[in-house]
Parts: sequence; C-alpha cells; structure tokens
Amino acid sequence: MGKGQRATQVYKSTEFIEHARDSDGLINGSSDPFKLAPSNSSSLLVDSEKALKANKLASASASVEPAPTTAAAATANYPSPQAERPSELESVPSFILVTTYLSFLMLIVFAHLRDFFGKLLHPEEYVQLREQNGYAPMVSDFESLWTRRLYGRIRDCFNRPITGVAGGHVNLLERVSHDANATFEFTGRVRNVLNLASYNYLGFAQSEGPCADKVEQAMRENGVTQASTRAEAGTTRLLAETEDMVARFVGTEASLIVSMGYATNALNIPALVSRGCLIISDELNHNSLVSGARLSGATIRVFKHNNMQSLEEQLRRSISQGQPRTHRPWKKILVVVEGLYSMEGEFCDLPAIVRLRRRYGFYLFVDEAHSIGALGKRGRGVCDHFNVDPHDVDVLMGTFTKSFGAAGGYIAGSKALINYLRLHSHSAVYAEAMSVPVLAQVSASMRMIMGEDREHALEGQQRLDQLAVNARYFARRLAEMGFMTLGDSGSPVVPLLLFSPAKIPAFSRECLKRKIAVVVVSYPATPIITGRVRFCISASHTREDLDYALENISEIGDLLMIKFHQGKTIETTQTTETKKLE
Amino acid sequence: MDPPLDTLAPPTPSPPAGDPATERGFFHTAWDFSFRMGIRYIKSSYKDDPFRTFLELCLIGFIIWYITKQKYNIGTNEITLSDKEIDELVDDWKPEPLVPDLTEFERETLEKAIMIEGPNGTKVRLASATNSKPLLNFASYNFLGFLDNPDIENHAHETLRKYGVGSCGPPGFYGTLDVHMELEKQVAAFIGHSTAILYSQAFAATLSVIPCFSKRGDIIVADEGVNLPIQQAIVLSRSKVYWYKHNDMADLERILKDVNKQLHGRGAKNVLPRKFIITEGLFQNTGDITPLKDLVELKHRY
Repeated sequence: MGKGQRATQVYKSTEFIEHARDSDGLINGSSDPFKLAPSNSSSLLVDSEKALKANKLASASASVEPAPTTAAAATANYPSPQAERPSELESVPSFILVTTYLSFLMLIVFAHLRDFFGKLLHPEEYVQLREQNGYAPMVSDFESLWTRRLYGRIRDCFNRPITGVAGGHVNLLERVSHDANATFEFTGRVRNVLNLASYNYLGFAQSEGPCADKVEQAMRENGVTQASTRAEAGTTRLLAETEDMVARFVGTEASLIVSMGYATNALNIPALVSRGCLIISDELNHNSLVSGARLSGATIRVFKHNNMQSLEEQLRRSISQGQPRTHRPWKKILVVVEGLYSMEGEFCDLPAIVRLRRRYGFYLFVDEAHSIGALGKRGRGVCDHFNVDPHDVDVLMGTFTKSFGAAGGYIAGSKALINYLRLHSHSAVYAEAMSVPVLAQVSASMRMIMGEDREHALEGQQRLDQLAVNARYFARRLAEMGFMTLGDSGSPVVPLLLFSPAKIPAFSRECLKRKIAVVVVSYPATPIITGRVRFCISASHTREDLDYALENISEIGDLLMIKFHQGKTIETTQTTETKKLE
Repeated sequence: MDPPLDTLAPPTPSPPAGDPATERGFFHTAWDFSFRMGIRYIKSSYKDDPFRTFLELCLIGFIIWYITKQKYNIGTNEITLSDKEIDELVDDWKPEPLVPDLTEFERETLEKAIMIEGPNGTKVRLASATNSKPLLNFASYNFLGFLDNPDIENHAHETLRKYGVGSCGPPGFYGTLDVHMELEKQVAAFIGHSTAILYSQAFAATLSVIPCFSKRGDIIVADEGVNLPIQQAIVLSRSKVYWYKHNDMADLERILKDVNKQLHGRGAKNVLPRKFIITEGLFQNTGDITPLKDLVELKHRY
C-alpha cells in the first residue's frame, strides 16, 4: 500500500518509536487514518523543537524528509491549542474590569461593616467566632468572611438538590429561603429542567437501557459490595476483568481501579514520588492533584498554565540547579498536567509535552478526569485526540464519573507500575474496593463505547459523534452571539465569562426561571475577577434542547449586558475565517 | 538723574567655549561653592556642641559603609550557568526509575493475593482452580451481616431503576440527591447530633475534615495507634501534633497540662490556637476501644 510504505519511511527513520510497528507503520494493527498524516505539516512546532533538532536522532532523520515528529505529523489535523489563542482579558473593555473590582470592594466593605455592627448588637449570633470558656473560636473571623457574607448571598445557586437521574433533563426539588439563604425549606414541587450542568458527556446516566440491565444482572450474581479493602478481600473476578478492560480502552498494559476519583490522585501520587523528588505542575491543576502533591512530601514547582516555554524554562532551571541548597540531582521529576481543564475548557498541549519529555527525561502524569470518553475520535481521551501514543505518557489517570455514568477513578500504565501501586498505594491497601453496581456500569458503558457490545454495536460511536457535534455547535453559536467564551474547539465544557459578582447569581436565577439548570463558578475555583458560567454539553441533548438553551441564554445576555464581543471582528479558534458578527 | 543706559559699562564678553582656562574656572567655582556651603553647614550645625557634629559624622560614615559593603543573596542560592552548561547537565541527568523493581517478598504477595468469585458474605468462594468449596470469611468487614440480606439487595435494585448509578457531579453542582439528604438526616439522628455530611470514601472523609478545621498553628493531640487515614490527615493539616501512648489517660493528661502551660507562657498577645484531641472509637489496627468517659472529662478540664 503506497500510503503505508511512505508511513514506514517516516517512522522507521526516527528512533522515537519504542514499540514495534508492523510493516504498515501501524501500532497493534489498528488502522487509524489519522496516523497516516501528510508529511508537509508545517504547523505548530513549538520552540522546544530546536532542542530536539540539536539531538543527533533528529538529524539522522532529517536526511529523509524535513522530518516532523510523529506527533506533529499526526496533529496536522488538529490546531495546536497554543496557536493564537487570545489572552482572556485582552479583549475585555476596561470598563467591565473596573466595575468588577469596584463591586467586590463594595461587597467586602459591607461585609466588614455588617460583621462589626452584628458583633456589637447581636453577639449571640457570632458565638462560633469568639473565644469562650477557654475554647478558641472554631472558625476564624477572616477565613469565614467569604463564606458567611459573600457566598452566603448566593447560596441558593449551589447545592441544588435533585431527584431521579441527572440526564439531559433533570428533576429539581424546589426550595425557598425566608431568612436570606441561611436555611432552606422545600415547597414540595418538582421541576423538570434542561440540564446543562451535570458531567454526563456521553449520556450514560440512565436508569434503564442496556447498561442498567447489565448492572442489575451483576448485582444478582455478585452481591452489592465487597465490604473490604482491595488488598484484603476485595479483589474479585469482576474487578480484575474490569481493570483489564480499562487498560485495553486506554491503550496501556494494566490499570488499577480506585473507588473515589479525588482519592485516586490524593493517594497515588505519594506512592510515586517522595522527598527528594520534584513535582512540576500546571498553575490551574485540580485540588486533588495539589493534595496528592502535598501529601507526598516532594518539592512542588509551578509553571504558567499551558505555557510550554514556562515549562521548559522551569525544567532547565530545576535540572541544572538540582535540589535546593544541596544541589544534588533530583531523584525523579514528575510533570503533572490535566487533559481537559474543566474551568477553562482548554486541552493541555500534549504533543509539545511529549516532545519535551523525550528531551528532558521527566515522567509524565496526565489527569484525564474530564477528557476520557469525551475526546478523540474513538473516545479514548486526550491521547486519542492528539494522536499521541499512550505509552509515551507514564501515568494516565482518569475518572468514571463524567463520561461513564459511574463513580471512581483509575490509574493506567505499565505492568510494573501497576504492580507496584497495588502493593504500595494507600488507595489499594487501605481504601475500600469499588462496589459491584458501579463496576458493572463501568464495564457495560466501556464495552459499548468500544463497540464490543454485540447488540448495540454502533451506539457507542453514535454517542461520541453526537457529543462532538453538540459541543462544537454550541460553542460556535455562543461565540457568534457575541459572548466571551473560553476553551478549545471540541471541548464538551464551554465556559462563558461573566466577571461581575452580581451577574453570577443573576445568570443562574434567570436560567432557572426559564427552566435551565446551569453551574456558575467564582472565587476560589477561578481567579476573582473572572467569574463564569460553565456549560457541560452532553450527547443526550438534542438539537432542540440546545436551540432552546441558546435562545434563552441570548435573552439573558442582553438583559445582563454580557455580550462583550458583539459588533467586533474576532478570530476564534472555532472559525477559520474572521466573521463579522451582528 | 539715572545715567542713560548706553553709558553703563558694557557687559564683559563671555569667553569662547572650549578654553581650558574657563572650564577649569567653572569647576573651580562649583567646587568652591560647595566647599563654602559645606563649611557654612558645619558651622551652623555645630551650634557649640561638638558631640552633635561627631554623631553626624558617625551617621554619614555608617551610611557609606552600608552602601559599599558586600551583599549576600541568601534566598535562592542559585548558580548562574550558561546555556551550554545547562544542556550538558540536562543530558547527563538520569532519573531513578519511576517505580523500583519488586522485591521477592512483594512478588510473592502479589501472586498469593486471593480473588473472590461471586458475592461476598459470611461464606465466600475463591476463584482459584484447586479449591472451590465455600470458605468462612474472616477477612471482610461485615459486622452486622448485611451482605447476605436479601431486603437490602432488593432495595438496591429499586434504587438503580429510579436513580441510575452515578450522580454525575459533585454535591455542589446538582449532585445532591434527595436520598443523600435523607441519609444525612438519618445518620445525624442515629448518632444523636443535629446534622451530618456524607462523603464517598472513608479515607477521603478523614482527609478532608481534619485539615478543614485544624490548620497551621493549631494543636493536635492524637493517640499513637490511630490508623493511616488520620495520620495522613494530620500531615496534611500542618498543625503541631503531640502523640500520647495508646489509650493511656495519664499520659494524655500530662501532655494536655504541658500544652496549656506552654500557651499561657507565651502571653495573652497571641491568638489562642485551636486544640484538638483525635482518637478512634474502635481502633482499626489493634481492636481496642477508647475510654471515652475519661477522655471527655479531660477535655472539659483542659
């Protein structure tokens, strides 16, 4: 095959490949058309390419063609996330920023005033903030100012209780507050609203359907729970089979399943690194990763979000300087990034990081909590999306909550890594094994996505395609309307910037009036001035659902004046040509 | 009468620029001027008080010494290297393997790990080829025997058909189900407090709650035999921790007395830190029960 032959030329000449490729230049016989990319991909070589070119391996292959590395060749079809993404705050009128700062200032001043007079006039309400009988105050004044005074005003937008399944539509339990959000009582009514808030990317949160049937069958055969830690009496045949399936899905040799997503990070990172090692993590990493890093006792350094120059500079500085004060070389360096950052909707620049990995020799940990199942042509996550060999990433971590409709997390990697973690990680030795219905749901949904389920062979791929179409459509329409959205094209998470602290609860409440459930986030999950609303698109949303949502969001946008980009020509990553917006 | 203007002496012509004599003259006048100013200043500040002048001279001397002395940068202790040297160091650096090889003991442990087939309960069947008789299960936590209970299984099936399996979101964003809230109320009533919060995993519960209230600067007094989640949570909270001997109330009292004495010694200016005693009701590692009555009495006393 002509194409295959040329692929062989490109691949064999470089020594970047660590695994045997068969004569067609394909890994494991899978014929993925994206791997046979044209060689004239001029794109997107990051500055670290110079470092590679200095490497003698690259110069050997330069004789064949101006050799793009395999990753760059394959990413020709996808724009690099670094390419001309406008900085968030560049295009915002300064009037908005000034008013946001002023609003926060006013809120904080009022909060302090209310505290001051409250303590004078109603001391009994502030009991937990003061010393009494020699007991120190349980909650310090300053820390709880945010929770009591600012967050307390908008508490009705969070923790909204639901009933039933959180699918494309969800049943919300209505509640009212008569004392300014201090307590809530239920009116007893249940409202069915459009759900743009739950992490239900592929629509597997269902209570009937083939997955639910399989779960029921598994519960009859295997009971409800293991009631034991994994190391003691928690390993069952079902667990072992599911772990094998996860490893096959992600493309690695073995995997370890943990019962809680947060704990997967917090308890496994300490098993990999310890004192004397270095962790370099992205600025905006999730709290679980930060927790795990702190528990491990290693030194932590941070690089600017998705900025490969910053990462490379940090690497060069750390490796050459060694450990602080003693200058001894580091035992290991672990670079921790996320596949899809949920608050920004951005992907990490995986091809560039993998190139840096080859040059500098660090270990790479990718947290695919949001991207597994949601990205990539076959749903295999960020490695599939960028066409990076999963063996190039040392530790792949992910969760089952988002795309599989279950709970818990996994760590996937080489057999040696997983065997070691089975014995030394706290999550395997001290934490409970995952319960049976959750395992069965993971197993059933994964089989469906892989297409191995004989009766529903095409449904998995249909869901993946539907999600991709929905996400792109929604993001494009929002940008066309003039909203300021963040994120890369194809991401199922679409954040929309609101800035002002008053617009944040206003947006949420207006949406609820129009029967749409959304998530608004502000400090401390995001920087203080960029409060945002975050839409999670699902494969179970129909085109009518999305249009209804877009219509209402447009109305609310006019009401709240958040269409910052209206009337401007904006070059977004979604559109390839500049469009004049109405 | 004023003399007419043109009879005034004509202005002396300014000498052409570049004449070394005049340049020296300019500097000469400048130096002269400042010298005179200096003398005038010293004269005026002297004010018949030699000590004052002496003090001022000392101050000036100190300023000059401070500005000119050698500065040390203690903070970063970084060595500046050229790009080429950095490249060489990067090429030389070889990290340890991400995970070390398993020892013989560890490999055997892995091979001997049991795999269970079928439901877990009082009697359990192993998946090994040789032995497929049901075995008595002394390994899993099944204190009240609920694993064998058919009512619970039926209820689980009903819940599956109503709610699906996952909650698709954290509790803050539409993940709080009505069953969560009901369970919280029931747990609170069962224990006897007013409210409760649920967590998905027991390990993570301890890991979240303890650092939430006890921070850097607070004091924790913990039993030596507490299990690993509590130990990790104490590490994460960065508080000062004192360990007392396992279930030994006399030791605990001694430590509490010491802690209070230290705090009083520091003076009333410092903010009173929070003090926590952490122990387990039924210890996971040793199986003892903590003497709760004595503990509560000590807590109130100190």
